[in-house]
Order: sequence, then C-alpha cells, then structure tokens
Amino acid sequence: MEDRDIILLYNQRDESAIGATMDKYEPYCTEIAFRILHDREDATECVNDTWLRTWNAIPPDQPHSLRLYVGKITRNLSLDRYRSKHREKRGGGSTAVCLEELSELLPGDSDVEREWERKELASALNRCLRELPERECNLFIRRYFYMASTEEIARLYHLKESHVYVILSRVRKKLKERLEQEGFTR
Amino acid sequence: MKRDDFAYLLGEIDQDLLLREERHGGRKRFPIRLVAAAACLCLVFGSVFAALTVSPGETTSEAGNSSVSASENSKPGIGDLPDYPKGTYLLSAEELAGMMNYGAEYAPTNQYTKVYLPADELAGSANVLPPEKWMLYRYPGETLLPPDREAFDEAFAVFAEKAETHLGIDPNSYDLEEDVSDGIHAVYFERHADVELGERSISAYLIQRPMVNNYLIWSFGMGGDSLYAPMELGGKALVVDPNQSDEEILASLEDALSILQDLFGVAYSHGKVTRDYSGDTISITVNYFSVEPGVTDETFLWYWPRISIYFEKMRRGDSRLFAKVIDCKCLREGVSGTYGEYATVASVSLKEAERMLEMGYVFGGHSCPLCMEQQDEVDFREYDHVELRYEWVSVLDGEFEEEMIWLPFYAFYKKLEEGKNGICTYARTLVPAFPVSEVEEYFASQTEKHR
Repeated sequence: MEDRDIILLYNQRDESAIGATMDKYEPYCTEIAFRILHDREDATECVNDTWLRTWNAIPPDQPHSLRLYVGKITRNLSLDRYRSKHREKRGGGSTAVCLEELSELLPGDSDVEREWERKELASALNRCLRELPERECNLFIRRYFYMASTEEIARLYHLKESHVYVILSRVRKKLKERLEQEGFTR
Repeated sequence: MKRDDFAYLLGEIDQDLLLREERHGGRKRFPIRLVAAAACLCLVFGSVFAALTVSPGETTSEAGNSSVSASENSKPGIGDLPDYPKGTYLLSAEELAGMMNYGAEYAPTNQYTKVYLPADELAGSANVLPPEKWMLYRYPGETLLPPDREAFDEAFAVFAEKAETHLGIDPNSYDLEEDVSDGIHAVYFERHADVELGERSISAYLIQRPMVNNYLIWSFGMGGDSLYAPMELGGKALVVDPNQSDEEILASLEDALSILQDLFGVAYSHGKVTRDYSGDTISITVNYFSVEPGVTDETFLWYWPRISIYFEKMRRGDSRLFAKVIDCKCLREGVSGTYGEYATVASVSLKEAERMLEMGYVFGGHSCPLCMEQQDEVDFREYDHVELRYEWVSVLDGEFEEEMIWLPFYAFYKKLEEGKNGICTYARTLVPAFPVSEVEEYFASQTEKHR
C-alpha cells in the first residue's frame, strides 16, 4: 500500500491504518530502535508505542514521508527509553559512544533553554548540514540519526572504517565551528 | 543543553536530507559488488601479512618467463628521493592516532590486536634491522582518472575474447552495470557474466576504477555464492598445499600463470607467496608483480599492478587450499607506472622503540579503542617477538579526501595462549619506526581524558 493511501486511512480514522503501517515499516522501525537500545524486548515495545503515537498524531500531521515520520517517532521513543534506563548509570554501549561524540557539538546551557531557541538550533543544524559535501552529510546522518556503527557505515559506503572515523571527526569539527558562527557557543 | 537533548534535536533533521542519505547509504547494493570488495580486502590483508615474511632487499624467485615492460619496471632510486616535507618528524602523535582509526579524543594507550599464528611462523620471521631511512610512498590522488566508457569497452573486448578461450564464458552473456554516482572513488563500469560448468559456475568481471582496470574471476558451487567450487585453469584445478615451500608453490602454478598472463594481457611474473592465519584456518595469496617485491613498499599497495590468486580451504578438514578468487589489476592508460610520490624519512632504532613500548606509547592497531579497554591488559615489557611491519593508514587531505600510505612500525608480540592445533594467540601492538613528535604530551593528555 502506498504511503498516501495509508495516510488517508489515518485521516479517515480507519484503524487498519495501523496494521498497514506495521506491515510496511515494522522492520525499519525495529532496526532503528534496536540500534539505540540493543535490547530486542525494549525495541519491540518502542516500536509498538510508535503505532499508537502515530495514530494520535495523524491527523493533524500530514507527513511527506511516512517512513521517515514513523522512524523519527521510534527514534525519539527509543531515546526516551535509553535515557530512563541509563539515567543512573552512564557509559557503555555504542549509543553512549554516539552520544559522547555528539557532546562535542553541544552549545552551552543558557543558549537553548527555551523552545524557540531549540527550534533555532535545529534550523541552524539543518543549514550547516546542507553546506557539507553530500557524502559527509550522509555519513553524519547515518551515524547520528540512525545510530549506525562505524563498521556498518564503512560497509554501506565502501569506505575503510578508519576513514569513517576520520570523516565523522572532521564533520563534527566543522559543524561545531559553524554552529559557533551562528551564535550557538559553548 | 545535555548531550541526550542534542540527540533528540537530530531527530529534526530535514526530511529531504534524510531521503538523500537513504538513496545512498540505505540502498541495497548489487550483491556481487560487495563480494568483489570482500575479495579486495582479502587480498589486501594477505598482502599486509607479507611484510612479516620478507626482509629488506630480499626478492623471491621469478615465476614464468615473460618480459616486463620498461615503464612497469621503473622505480626511483632511494638516493634521488626528497625528504618528507614535514622535516624531521613525519607526524605528531596526535596526527598518527587520527590516521589509525581513532579520533584524537580516544586514547590509544595500552591497546593491542589479537592475532593468531603458529609459533614457528614468528620464530622464522624476525627482522628488526631498519634501514637508515625509510622510503615511503604517498598516494597523491593526482593520477585518478575519471570514468572512460570508450577505454573500458576496448579493454573489455580484449578480455571477453580471452575469457571465452580460457574460461568458457560467452562474451555475449555479459551484462553491463554502470555506476558513477558516488564520487571518484566508487566510479566504475562493470561487466560480468556467469557460466555454469557442471557443478560449478564462474563469474568474471571487469571493473574500471580510478587508476586500474580490475579483473575479477570467481568460482562458485551449486549451493550459491557462499559455496565455492574449485577453480580450474587449462583443465587443472588450482590447488596448493600449504606444507609446500614458497618456491614449490610458485613452480606448481607456472602453467596457470601463463594462462592468466594471456587472459589479462599482462606480463606480471615476479611471484610472491603470502600466508595468512586466522584461528585454525590458513589462506595463501600468490601475487605476481611487474617488479620485484620488496618490503618497503609500493608493491603492497592496493592498486599496484598485479595478478593475485587467493587460496583457501573449501571445507574444514581440507589439507589443501583451493583457488577462490583471481584478481588482476592493470594500470589504466594515463597512469604512470609509479603514479605516486616517494620521500624518505629517518628510522627509529629498536632500542628507542622499546623505550616507547615500556612507557606505554603504543598504537595498538586498527580496532576500536573503547572496545580495547574491555580487553585484559597485556604487559609487553617481556615481549616474545618483535619485527618490522607496514601498516596501511589513511590521511584525509584536501580535495581528494583520502590518501593511503604505508607506514613502518615495530610490531611487538606477546603470546597469550596456545591452542591444541599449534596456533597461538598473540597480542600485537605497534610502535612507530619513524620519528613522531609530541608523543609524551599526547599520551599525557589522553590519559587525562580517560580519567
């Protein structure tokens, strides 16, 4: 079933929309959740929550890509769960490594306390990503949006893993500089 | 802002950027291309291992009797080479760590890589006398060529005719794949054909890469790509016995080499046998180069012209090794025989390297440093073995993005355990055999970060 047909079902409040979404995107969402949580049971629960969250959000939301839309919901739910499970015990696991790498980019506490500032930062980040060479941008997304391992990225992009490390390191540095230029200083 | 919040923020990356990424990273690739890449890796790793078994200046016996063209044989004399432009120190410790996989934010201290080797393999390969100066190769990228469909078709026409003669492949069955989407390092045309021969099938490819025409031949069994069938050339199975000496192996492959030289239209004839061990498995790669192989060296480069035959066990109990992949790389027209830059840099003595080892100034290998932290610490001060070894590291530099360079290291081995089959597990760590600056400062800063 095409995405637009599934979204139509959501708009008509037809519960078969949920089944159609599951049929089409469960493996995709499970992969995203598992990459963050590294626990099959937790991942399954987050994916199940995704369907409910999607049902509650469409309408009014009318996603352009249903795949990315449910993927983002799964990602956020998985991060929620990851955070609640690791609130007391930091470190360990590839997600922690991913987050640690991202910490280089963090603006200071006072910059994004308010929601509109947070949106500004998101816009700035998107602008910065667009300025990157396509491959660098793609690698960044695969690593920090999908939380893919560097080994997996190397395989996908036909690069040595060492190249992935170095490219990502370079991208983080560039983004940090650009975000600072945009006024998001540490 | 907390780091977790930033992770949420990345969920707001624009959809068009995510979709663009999916078109590249998320898409499914033509499977055989991955297989081909795996073959290249096998051959590269096999080549890396060659450094363990050859001494500087040592050459192996020449197999075959074909002549080598003057351009293929050109090689600069070390006396004519300039020093590296960076001066006394080739790199800083931080730069070197960055080139060896880990970003500067991770400490490479107390790291090692586990390797599996028969004890006598190490005992027979000690070589700890570095030259006064290292001749290093730089891969400048300046001779990378754009895709050239016309040149590809010409090369393919010659190959197809020979493939029909020697492999029984009908050239008309070839399909053409074109992919020019991923930038210069992944631009190629590719033609491949499969042919059934009794219980096996053969696939042959020509892939045009930025510097070489890359021919690949695979043999598969009936069970699909994961089952390999013995490859035959001239009616004889391509098989080697790992108990044979290098010379005996090269002699047994003389007929096959003649066929391969004709098949690929090259005269590469300087044979070199490399053996690689992984657990209880051994594989052998036989390379035929256009120039005599040495240890320094250009001949271990991925793109250096050569014919390679990769041998492996078909099944666990096999005593002989069967050819799985034949790989030939020929320089494309317009790429020089040496196509790189050479420069010299001073070497570091073993005594100095041992001092660095004792201080823990080591670069453990191409592995994730965070994972390495979970390994038991190994005390290398009473190491079992040391030798010189080249490591392939990458430099990202300017518009060409990636350059590869071989750098010499002292590899220190410490035996961890010995298996019943005589294969030992060693921890191996690396100390640069060339001058590196700011070592103490770098390791002090990393130690601090780990706290």
